[in-house]
Amino acid sequence: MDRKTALTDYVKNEIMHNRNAKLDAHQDLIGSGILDSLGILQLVAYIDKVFGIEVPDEDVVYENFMSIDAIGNYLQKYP
Amino acid sequence: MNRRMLYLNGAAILAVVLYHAGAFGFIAMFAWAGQYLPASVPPGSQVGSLSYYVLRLSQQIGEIAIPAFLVVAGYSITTAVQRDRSTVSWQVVFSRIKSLLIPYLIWSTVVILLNILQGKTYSPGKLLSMFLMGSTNQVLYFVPLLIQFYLLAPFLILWVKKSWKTALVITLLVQLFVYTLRNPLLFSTGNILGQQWGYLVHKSFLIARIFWFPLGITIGFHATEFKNWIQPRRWFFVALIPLTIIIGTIEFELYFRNSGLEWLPYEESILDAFSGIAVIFSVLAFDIKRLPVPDTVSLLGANSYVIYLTHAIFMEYTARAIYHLAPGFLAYQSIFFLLLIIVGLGGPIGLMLLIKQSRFRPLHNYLFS
Repeated sequence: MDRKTALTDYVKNEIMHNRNAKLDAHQDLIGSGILDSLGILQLVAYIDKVFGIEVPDEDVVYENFMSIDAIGNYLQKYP
Repeated sequence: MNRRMLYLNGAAILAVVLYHAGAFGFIAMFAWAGQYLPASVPPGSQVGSLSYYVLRLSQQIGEIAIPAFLVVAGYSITTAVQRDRSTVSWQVVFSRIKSLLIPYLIWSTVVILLNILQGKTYSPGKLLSMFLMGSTNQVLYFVPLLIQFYLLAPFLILWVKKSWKTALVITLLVQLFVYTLRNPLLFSTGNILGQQWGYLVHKSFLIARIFWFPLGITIGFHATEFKNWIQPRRWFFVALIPLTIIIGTIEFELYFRNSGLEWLPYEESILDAFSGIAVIFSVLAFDIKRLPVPDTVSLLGANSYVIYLTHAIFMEYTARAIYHLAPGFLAYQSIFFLLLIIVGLGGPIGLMLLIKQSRFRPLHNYLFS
């Protein structure tokens, strides 16, 4: 499973709590409220645990986490 | 820092459960003592017992919870600030408020309906004030408090960005002043001045916890510098935890013993601010892997809102069931306290899992955020 699919599944199942929810890869997760204050912390913990990528604090910013596409693009720098 | 913040949130929700289990323990020890003590024995005779100090400690530790939650919320809002903007957008602010507000309204209504079913009545004005101040039960006040901070977040972020030192010094001074004002409440029975101040600095008003949210924002915008600053001082803050908790316990005992009252509900003091700083900085100073049971505590942190909203309901009805069905058990307050911790954590998590696995799963976010 590629990272974007895994991230989409995680957001749907563990953050939106609805595996049938509609989630576009470019949808604004933060502005729409899908990623709330704990959601973003959970997502960073998930990336660390599942992909083994410890996202530096300075990279946990809106632009890198605003959508599944943005997160996927950001994670590309970690092969 | 993000994973440590999630852990801190988990530690905070544990502290909340501990605090309220302790509060029910004290109810068993004093208000319900007639259920198990002979009429000739005053409830105050239990002061100084092992159970008494276990419960006292739980209250002292529990005071770190709200500061920790606010630091996490302040930190987290900084991740929602776009680089080309000076502060967080109102869209983000309102979406966060919405995610807090819907579950809060649902669970406040549940508490009120349960009370109405038992014969309580409320005027419309009373209901309105209960929803606005979060006073439907003893815990929900935090939600209106957090919403106030979110509404101020765009301005607080600008202030912290402009001069974080000034922001922290001013809010800390206000915070310490408020703690000082709250102290007269320790002697408050019949003390009108103390009661007036108490209303002015009610725990659901942001002024009562003004320091912690800007502290979280500051840590968020200076995470690397903060980590570098805190790391060499980590053992100092760890040592400060038992020290402030012990001194705080002694301080309260002095107030209590000098009050001449049979029992005195706990109120925060300045020492609680230092306990809060000690615990928050200690957790944030260590790598997540070096903190105790990181996965479990982080999991609790991720589900803290569910636990926060519902734990008191599970605790209250368990305590009341024991009062009616097994009153003799109330004499063993330490075991009663442990049982309530289990119920306070297990009940909400069990309920959440039940909803998740049922056809009501789509309602999860409305119920629990």
